[in-house]
Amino acid sequence: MPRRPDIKSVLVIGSGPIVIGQAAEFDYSGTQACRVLREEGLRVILVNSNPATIMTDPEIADATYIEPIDPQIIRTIIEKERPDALLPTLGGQTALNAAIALAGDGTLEEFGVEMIGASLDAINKAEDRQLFKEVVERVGGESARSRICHSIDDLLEAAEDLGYPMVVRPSFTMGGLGSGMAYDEADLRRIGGDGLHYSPTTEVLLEESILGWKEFELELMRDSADNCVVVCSIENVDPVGVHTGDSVTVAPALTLTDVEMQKLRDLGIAIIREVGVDTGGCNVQFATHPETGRVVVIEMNPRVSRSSALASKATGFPIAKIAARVAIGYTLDEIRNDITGTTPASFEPALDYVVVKVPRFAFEKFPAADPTLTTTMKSVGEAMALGRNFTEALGKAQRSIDVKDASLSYRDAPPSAAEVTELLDQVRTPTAERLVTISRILWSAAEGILDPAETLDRLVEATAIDRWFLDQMLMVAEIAAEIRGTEVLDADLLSLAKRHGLSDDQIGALCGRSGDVVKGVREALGINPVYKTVDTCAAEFASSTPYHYSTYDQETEVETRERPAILILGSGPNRIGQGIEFDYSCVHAAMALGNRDLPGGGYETVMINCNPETVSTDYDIADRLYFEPLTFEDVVEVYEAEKAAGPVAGVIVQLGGQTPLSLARRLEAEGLPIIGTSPAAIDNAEDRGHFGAVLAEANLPAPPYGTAWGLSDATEVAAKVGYPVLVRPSYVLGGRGMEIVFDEAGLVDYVARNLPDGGRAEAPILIDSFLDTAIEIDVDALYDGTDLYIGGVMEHIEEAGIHSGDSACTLPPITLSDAVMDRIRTSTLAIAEGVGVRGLLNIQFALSHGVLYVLEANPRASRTVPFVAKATGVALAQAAALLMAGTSIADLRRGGVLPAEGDGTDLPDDSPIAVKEAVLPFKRFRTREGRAVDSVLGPEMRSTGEVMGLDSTFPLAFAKSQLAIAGQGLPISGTAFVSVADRDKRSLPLPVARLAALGFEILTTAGTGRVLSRYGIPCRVLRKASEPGDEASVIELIENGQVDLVMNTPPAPTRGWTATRSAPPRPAWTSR
Amino acid sequence: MDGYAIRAAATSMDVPMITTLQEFQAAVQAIEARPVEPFEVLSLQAHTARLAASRARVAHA
Repeated sequence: MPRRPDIKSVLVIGSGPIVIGQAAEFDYSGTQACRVLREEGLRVILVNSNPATIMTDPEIADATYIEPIDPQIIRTIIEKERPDALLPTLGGQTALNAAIALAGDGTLEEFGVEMIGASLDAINKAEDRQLFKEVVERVGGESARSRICHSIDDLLEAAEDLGYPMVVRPSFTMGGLGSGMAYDEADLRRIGGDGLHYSPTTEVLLEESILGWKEFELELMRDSADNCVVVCSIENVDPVGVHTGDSVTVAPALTLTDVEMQKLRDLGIAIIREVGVDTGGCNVQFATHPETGRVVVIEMNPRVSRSSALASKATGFPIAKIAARVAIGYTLDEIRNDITGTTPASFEPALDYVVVKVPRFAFEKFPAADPTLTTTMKSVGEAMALGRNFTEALGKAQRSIDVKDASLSYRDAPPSAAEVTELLDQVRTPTAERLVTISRILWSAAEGILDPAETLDRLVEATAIDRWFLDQMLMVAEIAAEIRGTEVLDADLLSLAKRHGLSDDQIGALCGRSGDVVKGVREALGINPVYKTVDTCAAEFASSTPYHYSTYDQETEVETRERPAILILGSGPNRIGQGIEFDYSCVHAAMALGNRDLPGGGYETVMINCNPETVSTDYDIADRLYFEPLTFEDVVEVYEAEKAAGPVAGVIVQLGGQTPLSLARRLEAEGLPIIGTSPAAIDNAEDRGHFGAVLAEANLPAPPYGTAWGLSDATEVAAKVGYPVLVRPSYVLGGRGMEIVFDEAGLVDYVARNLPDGGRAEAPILIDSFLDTAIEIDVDALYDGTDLYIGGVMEHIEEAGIHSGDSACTLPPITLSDAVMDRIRTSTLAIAEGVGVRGLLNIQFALSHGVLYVLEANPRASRTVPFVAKATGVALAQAAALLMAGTSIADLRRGGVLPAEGDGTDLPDDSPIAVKEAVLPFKRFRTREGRAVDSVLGPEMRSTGEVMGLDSTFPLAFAKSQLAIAGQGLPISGTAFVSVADRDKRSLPLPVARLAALGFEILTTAGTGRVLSRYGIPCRVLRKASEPGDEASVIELIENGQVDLVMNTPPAPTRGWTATRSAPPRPAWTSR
Repeated sequence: MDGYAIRAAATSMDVPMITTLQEFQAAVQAIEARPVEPFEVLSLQAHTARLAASRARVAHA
C-alpha cells in the first residue's frame, strides 16, 4: 500500500531530557523518523524539551517546540498546529505516556488527531501487565506466574502464594524504575511500596522469580499487510536479574539451538500480531530456563527502544526510519533497504559478525549508592563493538567503555587459588566489575593454578552465565597465558591474540613491554586489522554504505576515494559529564564539513565512534562510519586505513569531549594531522603556570591559588590563599574529590581522608580561593586567530560553586550590565589569543564584588554549545568545524553560517529568555538501606541531562524548565516546607513572604521558624524526625504526600559527604 | 541527619525540591508568574526568525 494520502502533517513527541533508562537512543530514532517524514512531504511538528538533541535542530522538523512534554502544553501545540496525526512510538515511555494522556482526556478526538504507529488499544495491551499476560496465554505462550497488586495488603497476600524471592515490577514506568527483587517481607514492603507510588496507576506486578534464567530479546516489525520481520535477536550475557540496559549483551543470540530460536521467533511474531502493533516495531523479551528450556515471555514494548537502536546499529537495518514509513502506510516490501539499495525492508538482516554491547556506569559519582546490579537500570551509557567472533567483539567493547579497569589489564600476576575463592564469592553478586573479575579467575585457570573445567563449573554455579560465554573467555585467558609464557612473540601467536580481541596494551602487559612496543612488532610483522562492512545481508548483495568495523581478517572493504577526508573523533559512551552535547557537536561537524555549499566545506567526512545510542553513529551522518573504540590503537589503525584510501586533510579531536582530547598529543606524535587548536595550545590552557602567564599578560584576575604535596604545605598555602578554599586532587576529572574547606580543621580532615597516613600525595593537591557569593558566567566563543565571535553568555542561577553542568543558567544573561559584558568580551579575546585557540573556546568567569575573575578556560566544544545554538539560532558547532578546517569567521559571516553582523552578546532587549536546567538522577540511586542518595548539589557533576525552557520572561522560562524536568513542575498552591542553613536566613524572608501571600501554607523547623515569625510570616513549626513527639514530622508529611514543595539548604559541609558549594576555579579544562 | 532524611524523602516522593537559595528565589518568581491558563508556546523556527528580523532591524537603524 502506498503512503496514506489523508495524513499531511504529523506531531512527533520526543523523549525529553537524557535520564537513566531513556537516553540518546531516542534522539537517534526521533531524528531518523522526522527526516523520513519530511522526505515524504509531510509537515513535521516536533515537541521535545531537550536542547542537546539533533532532533530539535531547526532543520529536522518544520515546527520545533522545545517545550515541556506535558499534556497541557502539547494540547496548546496541537491547537496551534492542527496536525493530522500523532506519532508517539519514537520518544520512549515519555512520549507514549503523554500520548495516552492526550487520548484519555479527549484532546486527540477533539482536534481530530489520529494516533499512528501503534493504536491506543495495542499500547494498552502491551503495557498493561494483566492484558499482556492474557495476550501471551492466547498465543500459547507462558508468562511467569504473577499477581497484580494495588496495595500493601495485596502484596503480602500474593507473597504467600508465590513465595520469596519475587520480582516487583511497577506498571507504566520506564527503565525498570522502582522494580527490584524482594527476598523477604521487609524488602517487599519497601520495594513494593515505592513501586505503588512510582506507577501512575498505583499498580505493581509480583512475579515468581526467574532469577538466573537466560534472557533474550527479539526486535520485530510489522506492517499493515501483516508482513512481519525479526530484525535482530539479542542475548544477555548476564542472566535474568540484571536489567537488559545494565547487562552485557550480544547480537545475534549465540547460545540457542535453531529449534529454540524458531520457538522464540514464532512466539514473538504471534505476540506482535495478537497485541495488534500493525504499523511499527516492538521488542519482546524472553527468559529460558537453563536446564529445562521452559520459555517465559517477560514483556513487550510497542515502540522503538534502546534495544531497537542497538539492533539498528548492530544490523544496519534502521528500525526507526522504517517504523516511520510503515506508520504512514507503506508496507515493508515497498520500502527500500538503504544499505544495499536493492533489497526491500521485508528481507530480514543476516549477520556475518558478532556484536557486543557493554554498559557504562557512574557509581563513582554516588559513593553512597549500592552498586549491585538489579532489575532497575543504573547504567548511564553504553558502548558497542563488532568483530568476526564473540571474543574479538567483547575485547573491543570493553576497551570502548573508556574506564581504566573495564578490561583485564594483565598487569598483575594471575590470582592464587586462595584469592580465586574470594573472587568466586564476589562474582555471585552482579556488579559493573563482574566480567573483569571472571576474566581474572579464568586467567588463573589458564595458567594452571586451577583446573579449567572445574573453574567453569564453579563460575556457572556462581553466576548462572551460560557456559559457552565463559568458555570463550577461558580461550582468551589461555592465549594470554601462552603469551605470558613465551620468549618470542611470533606472528602466529600475535595474530591469534588480535583475532580474539586483546589490545596492544594488554599484550604488552603480558610480555612486560609497552603497548607501543607491541604495536611496533605487529607492524613489522604486517599484522594490521582490515575493515569489513555492516551490510544487513552477510555479503549476499553489494552494499553501498561504508559502515565499517575492524577485524583481524584477510581483505579490507574500504574503498579508495578522491576527495580529502576529515576524521571526526566522537565521544564514546554517554557518561555523566560527557553526554550527547558532544555527540551533537560531532554530528554538526560532519554535516558542515561534508557540505560543499558552505564556505570551507566539501570534505569527505569520516566518523569514528563506539556509542550505539547516538545520531553520530547513524550510517548516513558522515560519509564513512567506523564503529571502533576511541583508543590510541584503534584510532591510529582507522587513520592508516583511510590514508591508504585517499588524502586525509585533518583529524578533529576537539568536539567529542575529554575522550578524544586526551588522545591529542599521542596522535599528533604519531603523525596524525590534528586540526583546530593545537595539542600544545590545549596543554597550555591546562597548565597552571602557562595559563597564569596568559592571564597576567592580559591583566585578568583569577582567584588566588596554590599547590601542595602534603599537610604542612597545604595549611601554609591555604593560609596564604585565604579561607574558604576549594581543595581537590590535581588529576581529577568532572570535579571528582572536590571539596570546600572553611578552616584549618576542615583542611586537616580533608587531607586525612584523601591522603592516607596524612602522607605525601602522588600528585599535588590544588588549593584555590573560593569566591563566595559570586555570579558564575559561562561563555562559548569562536576564534580564528583574527576575529572573535561570542556564541553566547550564560548567567548561572546558582552562585559560583555548583558544578556548571548541574547549575541552571539563562541566555541572554538577565542581570549583567553592559560594562560587565564588555569586560567579558575583552577577556575572552585575550584568552583566545593567549592560548592560541582555533575553533571553540569555553570560559567560566565569576563576578564577585564587581571583579570579573577567570575560573577556567576550555579550548574545545563545551556542554552548552547546543543550548547556545538553539537559544541564539546560530549553528555554532558547524561554524567551529569549518574554522578548524581553515575557514575564517569573516568567510562564515559572508557565507551565512554566522550572522552578517553582531554576535551572541547583542540579542535584542525583547528577545525571549532561554533557561537551561539540569536533570539529576538521585532517585535512581539507593543506599544499601534503600534510601535515595543525598540530592545536594556539589562540586561533582551528577546530572545526566538537561532541558530548555523558552518564554518571554525569566520567571516564565524558569517555570517551563521546572515543568520539563519533572512531572507536574512547580506547584501553584499548597504546602511548602522551608528550612535553611544559618547563612541563608537573612535572604529567606522575602521569597517566603511571597509564597505565603500566594496562599501557600508554610511549614518549617524551629530555627527557620523563629526568623520567619519575626518577619511576621505565618508558619507552622514541625517536629524534627529526630526529636521525640506525637505530631507528624516533616518526613511523615512528605511521605504521606502532604507537602508540595521542599526548600532545604544544607549547612556547611561536614565529613561524610562532599561539599555543598564550591567554586571550580580551575585554569584548566579537566574539571568539566 | 534530618536534612538528608528530608531530602531523601522528597526525592523518593517526587516532591519538587530546592537546595539553594538562588534557585528558591527563581522558583518563587516562577510560581507567581505561572499562568492559570496554559503556557504560550513558541516554535524554534519562529524564535530564530524573530531574532534574525530584529538583528536586521538593528543593522539598518
